[in-house]
Amino acid sequence: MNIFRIFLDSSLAAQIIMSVLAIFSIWSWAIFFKKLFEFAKVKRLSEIFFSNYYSHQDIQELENMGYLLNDSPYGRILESGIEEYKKLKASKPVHSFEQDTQKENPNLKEELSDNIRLAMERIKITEMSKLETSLPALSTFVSVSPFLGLLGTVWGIMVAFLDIRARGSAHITIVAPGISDALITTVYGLLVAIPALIFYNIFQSRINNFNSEFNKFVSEVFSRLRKNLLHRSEH
Amino acid sequence: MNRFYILSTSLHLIIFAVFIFANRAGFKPIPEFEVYKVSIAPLPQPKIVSMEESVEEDVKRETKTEEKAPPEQKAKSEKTKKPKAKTEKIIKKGLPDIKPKIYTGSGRGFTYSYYLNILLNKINKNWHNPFKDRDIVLKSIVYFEVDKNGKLYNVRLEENSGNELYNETTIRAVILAKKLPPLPQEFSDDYLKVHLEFLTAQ
Repeated sequence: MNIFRIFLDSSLAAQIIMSVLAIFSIWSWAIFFKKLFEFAKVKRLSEIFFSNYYSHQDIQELENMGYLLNDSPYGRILESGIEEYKKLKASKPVHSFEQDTQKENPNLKEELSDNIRLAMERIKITEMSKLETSLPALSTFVSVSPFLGLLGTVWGIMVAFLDIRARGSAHITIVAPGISDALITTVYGLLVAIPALIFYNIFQSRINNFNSEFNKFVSEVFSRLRKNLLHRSEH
Repeated sequence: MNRFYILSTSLHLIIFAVFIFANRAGFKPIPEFEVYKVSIAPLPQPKIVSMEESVEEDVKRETKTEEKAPPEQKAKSEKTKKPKAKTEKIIKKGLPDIKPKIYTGSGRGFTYSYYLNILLNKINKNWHNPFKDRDIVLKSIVYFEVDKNGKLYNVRLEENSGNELYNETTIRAVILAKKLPPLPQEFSDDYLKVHLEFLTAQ
């Protein structure tokens, strides 16, 4: 089975469809390699980050983790939380917390500390959307490729029947070329769609894992910063 | 992103190359079939004869049989002999694109239209006109003979349409008819000569 011969022997419509499917295939594999590289990078940087994160107990020490805060998504989430924490500290003197809570708004401490959570949530969403880039394209290839293949099949069969009509014979030599044209496009469509579907499911499950890990991290950092904030205000 | 595209394209090229080399290296490739040009049906070489020639042949046959016959019969036949010229009887009835011209062996008219209808229907069933519903006008005449038992023989192309495929389909249609019902008992001749005209529908 010579792929090029099959391609050259096919009708123009089948050739166009096969070319589009080839582009889809190259594109989907490029996305696969890109995402594989990205996830591996995120995993590696996260491991480095967490090995440092758990060894630093104080907020000041965490601030000084330097490049680790910017490289890893966890670092960027932590950085945004610390930024917000610092803003809160700078805008409101420590002693005023006590006064505010006792006199006007008893829930003020909670509301202020929620700002830290929201800031981290915002960064988490940004990080998630970064991880999800190119997945819609992959999903499109999964759904469109079999239909393109099917289009080629229907077209080929239609041409075969027109040939039968024109020649007035349903001999196998007249029917076979059209049918083989027709079937080869379906094969190509499935060859593109099946790997793309596997990649999509793998990446989707990884992204879901990252999402739950980010949520866990956000609540952990939040409780740590909140505790620190409230602890300071009490003194 | 560019490097990933390059990587992906390279991977595809490698896969194609593997397919091509695997094919050439002899991983039991599917044998390539050679294409031969063949006739639709095993046919005798088309021989083009004119109508006049065929009439002359009839005359020769008749004279031969007369020579062989004993002198008494010869005298009888001379009495009953009719003028040789224009022994044909053209029957215009029939299907729209098949028109037969019938000659009897003795020159007497063939008046059994039911038999002709059977003949035409059977041949028409076998005939798949490749140029049906097209603006091409083709005409071919196939000559054949029917013996008393209804067997067809001496099938040949009498008038070439100019299109090989068309000629073959017309001869094939006659050959496939193979055997017809026996000629009517009342019909005293030994055989029936048919000049069948195949005309594309207009």
